[in-house]
Amino acid sequence: MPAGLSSETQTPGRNRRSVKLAAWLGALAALFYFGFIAVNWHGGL
Amino acid sequence: MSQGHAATHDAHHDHHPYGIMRWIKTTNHKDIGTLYLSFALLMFFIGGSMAMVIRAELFQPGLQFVDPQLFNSLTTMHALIMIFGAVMPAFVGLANWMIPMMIGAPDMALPRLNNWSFWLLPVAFTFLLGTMFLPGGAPAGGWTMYAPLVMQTGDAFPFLIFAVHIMGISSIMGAINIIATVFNMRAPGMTFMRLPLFVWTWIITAFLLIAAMPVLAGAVTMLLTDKYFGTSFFSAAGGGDPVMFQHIFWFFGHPEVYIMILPAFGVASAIIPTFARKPLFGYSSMVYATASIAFLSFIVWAHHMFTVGMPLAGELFFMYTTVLIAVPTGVKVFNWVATMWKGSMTFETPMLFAIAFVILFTIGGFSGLMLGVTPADFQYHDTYFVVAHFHYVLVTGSIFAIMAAAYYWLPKWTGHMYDETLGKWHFWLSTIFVNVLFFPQHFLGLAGMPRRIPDYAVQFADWNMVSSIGGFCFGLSQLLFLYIVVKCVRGGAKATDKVWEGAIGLEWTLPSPAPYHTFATPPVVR
Repeated sequence: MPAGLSSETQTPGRNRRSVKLAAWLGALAALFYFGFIAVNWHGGL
Repeated sequence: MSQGHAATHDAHHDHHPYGIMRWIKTTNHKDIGTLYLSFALLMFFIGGSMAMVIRAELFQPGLQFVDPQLFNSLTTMHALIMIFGAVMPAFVGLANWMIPMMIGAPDMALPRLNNWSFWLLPVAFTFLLGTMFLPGGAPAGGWTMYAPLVMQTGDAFPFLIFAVHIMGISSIMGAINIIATVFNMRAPGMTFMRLPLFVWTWIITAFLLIAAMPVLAGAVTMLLTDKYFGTSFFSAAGGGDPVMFQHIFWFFGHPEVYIMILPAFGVASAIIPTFARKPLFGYSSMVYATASIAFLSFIVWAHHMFTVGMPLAGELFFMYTTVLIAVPTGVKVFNWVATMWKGSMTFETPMLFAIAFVILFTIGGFSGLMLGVTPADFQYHDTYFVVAHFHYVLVTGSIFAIMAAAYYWLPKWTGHMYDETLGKWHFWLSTIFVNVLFFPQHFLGLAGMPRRIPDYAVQFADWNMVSSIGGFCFGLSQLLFLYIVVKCVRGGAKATDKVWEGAIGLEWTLPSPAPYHTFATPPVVR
């Protein structure tokens, strides 16, 4: 089993994929957050 | 589906740290699941205590126990605590415990993120509950935080906003983790269309969370800047629009309803086949129905605000899309009933709660259809009919499903069988009194009693008294649940690995209690 991983399932490749996917999904959430504020910007200022 | 497993292989390294640091530093999905479930139970009792005070105040007309300001704080806090502190964390706890074991994974994909997701919650609720002791009291403008009313909140305001942000971050991180886990950590052979329905409903819920929670966060950020930084997003005086807040809030709020009910559908879809001893009827239609409900949940939001005023085309659009949700929901109810049809049914406590869920959630669904019809909603809006509706969906829907899941999986978690006799007592007391509590609220609403008031006209007195008696008895019945859980954790008859005769799935191939580390070597699913 590779060092630092909890199991045979969690290979370095899979781990990297999980982190990458998490980053993309986090970016998507941030886009929604700022997007909803941005579309209301005209009223806000 | 057949599978090899590595349970006995795992048992020999079933070691874990002890003491308080085990829980603070844990990255183990089972520990974090336990933390989430314990937190949810604590919040259930705190939110429930507030409900008891509300029902005591409404026992008869006039002001008895609390002043109107505190009453409004209690309704606001009860909702926030039950939604964000009890129901959502309970389902995340179930997901943490069960999803890795159901898909043959050793843990969640991002265990440290998992730890952080949980530990943000006590921080958020310390802020939120702490507002009860601030000058001006806790938030009292309703959980919907409508502008401009919410701007009247005193010192509690920034704490409320900060707490909602933290809860949102916690939920989003949990959702990301669940998606990464299911996409990347499935055992060989565990294709998407072989996933247990509970896992499917959770993937879809996780996408809903990622799309909906940032919208809530954006809305409350705008409230914050309106109050403290001179913006006018929702202030008509500055060129903003208070109604826009309602649109944005409900664009989050309606998917939120499905965030709280889709995992409940998954629980029912796990339990009913087990105790009917038949495979789930219409597996793929269940998946597509869940996805359809999730999609529709984003295009129905304005049915919460028909009376606020919008173009006729808007009223019609949101009425039609709302009523359309009945189609995929009907598919699900049909499939559960068809699963039970001619099954060799037995009625252990999890099955009793699951059947009650199907029947009583359907009542909540039907009253939802009534509310979705625009002209009718003009009559029902902001009455106790709405309160009856969403409590049927959230108490006899979500919470009954959580109870069913707890009884169903407790033997797998603890290694002990719970007390079946007491479980049945808990079920019957809960089911009888929850109906005594909420069914009369339909009558009160149809007769015109407004929601969110501490006092009411005398013609509403009788049904309010009945409802309060139901409330006190339902509340007391939940102490029995606490006793049953504690008793089961501390001991009881030894549970077998499979626990239930008709149970199917990878989690039942593991020993009971499930070892601290499972599926370090992935099982092969054929």
